[in-house]
Amino acid sequence: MDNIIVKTRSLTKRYGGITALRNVNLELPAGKIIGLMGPNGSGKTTLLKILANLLMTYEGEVLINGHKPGIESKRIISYLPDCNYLSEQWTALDAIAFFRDFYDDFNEKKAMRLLERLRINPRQKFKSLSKGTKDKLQLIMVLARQAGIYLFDEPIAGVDPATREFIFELILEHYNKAGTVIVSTHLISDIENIVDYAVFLREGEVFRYVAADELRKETGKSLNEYFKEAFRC
Amino acid sequence: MLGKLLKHEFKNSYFEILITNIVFVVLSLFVAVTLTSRSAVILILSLTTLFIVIIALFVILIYNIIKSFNKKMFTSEGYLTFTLPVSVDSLIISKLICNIVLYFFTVLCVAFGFFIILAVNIDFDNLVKIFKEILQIINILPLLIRAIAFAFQLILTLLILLFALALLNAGKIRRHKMLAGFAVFFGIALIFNWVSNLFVVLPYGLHYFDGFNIVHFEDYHGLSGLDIYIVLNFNNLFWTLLFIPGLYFLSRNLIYKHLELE
Repeated sequence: MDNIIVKTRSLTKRYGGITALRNVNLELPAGKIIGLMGPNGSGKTTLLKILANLLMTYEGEVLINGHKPGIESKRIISYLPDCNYLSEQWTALDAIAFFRDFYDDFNEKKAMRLLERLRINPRQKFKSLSKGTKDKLQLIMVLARQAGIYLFDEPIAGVDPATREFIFELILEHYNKAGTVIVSTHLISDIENIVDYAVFLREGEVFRYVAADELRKETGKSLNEYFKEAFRC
Repeated sequence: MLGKLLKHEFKNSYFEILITNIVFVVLSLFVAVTLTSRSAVILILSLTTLFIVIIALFVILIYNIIKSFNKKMFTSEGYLTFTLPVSVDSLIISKLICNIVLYFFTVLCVAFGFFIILAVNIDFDNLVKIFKEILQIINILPLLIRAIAFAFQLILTLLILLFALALLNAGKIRRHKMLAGFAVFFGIALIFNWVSNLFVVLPYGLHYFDGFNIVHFEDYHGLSGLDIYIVLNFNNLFWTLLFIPGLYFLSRNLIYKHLELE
């Protein structure tokens, strides 16, 4: 396999009595697009939060570019959560100033270009933007970084099909091609054709981790068909 | 990175506080002028407004302090805060510094407002005389101890607030969150008072053998009120300095180990 950028060994995460992740062993290659797939509650968000260093206690080992999750790993991770995380009082310009100050890899010009392209008023307050525009603005902030790893947590959940396509076009067009993209979703058909690898999670365990082409060749099915069959209730 | 954190911390919180302080200073000038008019109605009205603005000033300050901790750390905005390439310590320290600076800025503005009222109504020579008399009455040592103790008490109050918020979020208390927050906050403040009054710590050279009531101190040893004042503040300072690291590391630990953002 290519260079490993994310490595987890016997990763287990418990919330009280509930086990969200159980003995997860993964080696994710650099420069690839990886789909983190599974039904709701399968542990996708928990795994991304651990990689983003939002969850700091767990069992097992996690290495990101050779470092444990922390300040070093956060320098190279560009994370998009499944909620609004920009201040309601900010404008796009405030957000840009903030990202510019904290991330060396933030490309201000790229952010401004994307704002212009998506017709977002850089002086309009975040709270007065529509939900779709808020999502787009957050996506711009994430993509304007030349990050080593992009983490997208359900970037297309609750979005209409046309916008879903647009979001993925934007991601594919603007992410750092040398970086790794980890995108979590339960809407497999939408990322079917863009992922290099698929990690299927079920009840906190890795059910299957495989190269997308290999799976298609092996089963004669699309990822979506495979997912539906494997996760049928 | 602490500098950048401070920059954005101030940028996010200065506006409301600056505006309210400007309103207060302008109002102080207005009150100062109305005092010379000798009209009782105007005087009462302007003094009442001044009093209300002072209360508003501190309410806004407290609201901002709570907002700066809660919103940036424990709501969805925490996703941005905690994915920044900075340590949790830097995050906490920047918030403490910013809120302390804004607090003292407000106190200075209030003092400046009262100075304006005095300066407009009393001629310069009298004003100088008053300040000279005040300086003669005041003993610098207890005042200094008091000022230091107050600064640390402010840090302690901020840390109690942070601890209460961290505990609420780590404990996943969903119902009556505000009530629970107040209970934790005042509970810890009460514990601090109990501990510092039950176990009085005295400066070197002052002996204390009996009980926990500070009045006994004067009765048995003939110490002056000033001595007691120094002792009380020393005791308060001692316990404050002991509680500060304790609460800091407890809050930090809660954030590290149990933080679960919405």
